[in-house]
Amino acid sequence: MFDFVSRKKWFFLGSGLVILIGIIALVASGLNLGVEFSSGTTMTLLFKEDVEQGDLQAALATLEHPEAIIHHSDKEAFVVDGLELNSNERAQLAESLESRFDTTVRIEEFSSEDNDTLAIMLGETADKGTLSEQLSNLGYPGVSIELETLNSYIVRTGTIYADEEDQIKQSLHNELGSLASYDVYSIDPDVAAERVNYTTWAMIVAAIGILLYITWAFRKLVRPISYGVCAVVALAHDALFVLGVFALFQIEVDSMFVIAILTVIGYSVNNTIVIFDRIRENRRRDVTANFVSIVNASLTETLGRSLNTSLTTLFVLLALLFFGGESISNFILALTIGVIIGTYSSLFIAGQLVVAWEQGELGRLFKRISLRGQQG
Amino acid sequence: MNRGNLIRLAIIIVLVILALCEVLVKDAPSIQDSSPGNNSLGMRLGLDLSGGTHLVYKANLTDIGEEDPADAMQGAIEIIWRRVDAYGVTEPVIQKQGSDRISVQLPGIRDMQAAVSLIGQTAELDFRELSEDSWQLVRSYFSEGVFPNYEYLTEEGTIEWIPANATTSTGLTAHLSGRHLKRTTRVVMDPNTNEPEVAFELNSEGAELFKKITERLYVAENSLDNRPLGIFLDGNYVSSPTVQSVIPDGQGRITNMALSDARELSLLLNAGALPVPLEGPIVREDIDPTLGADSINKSLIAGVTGLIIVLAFIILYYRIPGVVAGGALLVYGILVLAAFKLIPVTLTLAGIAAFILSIGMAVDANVLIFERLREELRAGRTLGGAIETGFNRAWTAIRDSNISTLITCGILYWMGDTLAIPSVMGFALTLAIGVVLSMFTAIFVTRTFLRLFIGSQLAGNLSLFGGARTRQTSTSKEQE
Repeated sequence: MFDFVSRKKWFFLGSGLVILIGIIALVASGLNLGVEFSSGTTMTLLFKEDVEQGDLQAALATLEHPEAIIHHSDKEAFVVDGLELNSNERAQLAESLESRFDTTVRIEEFSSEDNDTLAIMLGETADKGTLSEQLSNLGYPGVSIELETLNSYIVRTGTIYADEEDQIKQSLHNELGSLASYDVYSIDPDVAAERVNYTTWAMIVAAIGILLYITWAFRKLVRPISYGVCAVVALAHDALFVLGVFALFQIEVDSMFVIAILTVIGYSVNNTIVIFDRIRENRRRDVTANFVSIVNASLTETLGRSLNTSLTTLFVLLALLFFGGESISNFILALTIGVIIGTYSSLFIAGQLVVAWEQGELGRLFKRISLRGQQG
Repeated sequence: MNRGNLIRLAIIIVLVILALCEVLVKDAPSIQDSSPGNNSLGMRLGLDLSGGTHLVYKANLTDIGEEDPADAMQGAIEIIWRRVDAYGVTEPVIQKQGSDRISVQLPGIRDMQAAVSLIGQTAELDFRELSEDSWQLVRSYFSEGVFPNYEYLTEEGTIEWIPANATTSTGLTAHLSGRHLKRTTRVVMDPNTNEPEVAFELNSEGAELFKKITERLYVAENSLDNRPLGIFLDGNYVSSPTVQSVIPDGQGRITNMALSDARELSLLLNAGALPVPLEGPIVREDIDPTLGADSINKSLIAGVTGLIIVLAFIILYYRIPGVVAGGALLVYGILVLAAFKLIPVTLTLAGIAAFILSIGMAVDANVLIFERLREELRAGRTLGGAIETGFNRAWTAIRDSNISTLITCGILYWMGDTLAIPSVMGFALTLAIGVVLSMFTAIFVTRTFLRLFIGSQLAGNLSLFGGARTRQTSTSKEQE
């Protein structure tokens, strides 16, 4: 039988070190917060004529947005002239083309005097002739089509409201030529601050709720609060670990990340409770047994279930990570890391913490630290 | 095989048939709303999958006087609803968020500029006349043969407009405004100029006021003393036709605008003015559906791949109970889909992730039970005994772990609701449904399926159920 408990100091030390690195990363560079939590506006600008990134930066600076961060990404698009469509007609056309070409299609309108220039972007390459044919089949014959590689920029700035956006687009049009803007995402600073606030509270309330529930569920044991507290410490361990990884590698954090963290917490508690449940059962069965051996036996008896459950979850997550869409890959990454670390903390941290509490080691440890603090 | 278990099996079969009907029939009933979704299964798709515009506005509640803020917000939501509906958005979601915010989701709408202008305007129409001094100034221009541009003079602040009031026969003095409009406003083309105009009709009180006001402003046919009547929207000048006759029937036209503006104005006037002015939008999101379509397909394929691996793993590891778990998971999947449609749950990317996770939890509940079953069998129990003890022992762990997940779900849902983050709400709701149904499947369905094997041929070989590899003959005689 593997001795989970007596090596607990090494587990605590290892986890402590890793989390310390995470906390240092969190303090030193912070989390890479997306627009959702840090406020601001992102949008994609697609230019009809060639536009240098420097010129765009300069133009935005004169429009009072010197803080703009610009990423360059060229797009291949069919530029269609002489086709004036309203937004409903554009959406319908995109849908029809999607089913004909069996790929994703987006249609954006360039700013111009008579609103008759469009960019049609297909998910897969197609030739001009086929598109022209399809357009005339759909009732739009005789339009001029050119396949071009257009300059496209993803711009992130401070919060831009709707009115200002219109002015900026007008000015950019005057200065740099026809453009289309899309994928706008704009969050006001108050809203962003509120989101950070509520998210923090959601985590705290969730932790307290779990602590109270576990304490209640284990009320028939000696010191039920130790189970609640240790489960919460284990989940904080997992949340900090994932946060640390995201801070260290500066992976962008959005609301899906919050969901991931809370799921990881739920998952970790799930695992921990299964082990605690076994401790509860074994303890009731034999009150005289040594607590260390009870915890060790409980961990060993539930090991099969812990590993199987984690493995099955990991199968699904890894499948999603490798074959799933790009838009959820950060989310799945956070979940994958969380599930691994959650399994670790349930096996090597949570139960061991209860033992340390039971044996008074935690009290001694704190006393030693505070004594050392006073001496230093 | 006992009778109780047969009844349980019958219940499961009936449930599955009902659930399948709910899933497969396109306009099957749902609790909140009867409008079916637009995809093949009739599920509602969230904005991240369907694409569209999400806007959040902040209402300015400082000037509502004695009115209840909640009523004012409800009124504003109704007006926005009418505007969006008239614009032709299918399945919009308009919700109050916190005390003073309104979140508007417009699936399929990608023209954010149009959406912002449609929703954000208060659309308070009012009629004004020139102050006496301003009229004297304008009249002096007329005498010199100059016909000034009212719009320019108004913007420059050279002339001043005051509310056009009149007193009705009942002795009530009122300001003629948008609240006197019937909801019959429409766009017409002037046959002479071929310019678009917004034709409106006033209710009886409005018609009376309009008659009194035009009587006051009209002097004689083609006279230079006929005064203009100013039409303002949200305090902005729209037009100011000179009154050319007394208008007794409360019919009028607003000129001086482009066709698209005329359409929007007519739509706004028919929907009515917002009871509170809106600020913002403080959140604007233009969501590309192509990203969603790509993700939904890839995620579903990935989810199914993952699931097949999981099933293969459980069957290889747990043998017959693994096969039972496969059956139970199938029941679980059908029940969850039915619940999604019944409630109805809006399918978002986060929701799909929650669904896949909840499958993991359903598997976990089964794994917990089978591990116990295996332990009990190895401790020498009969199959029937092992099933019952295994379930009872596993139950506390399943209960406690699922309740703690439900606590997290509740908090997430509250957070998503308060902050109007649909993805967070979708995730929480989907996971909660998944957790509750996974408890049900593990405890009810898996147990019923496993009991079917008691007394069967297969029960003779307990190693197929995870027991040690010794043949036990007693099981065939065993009673439950």
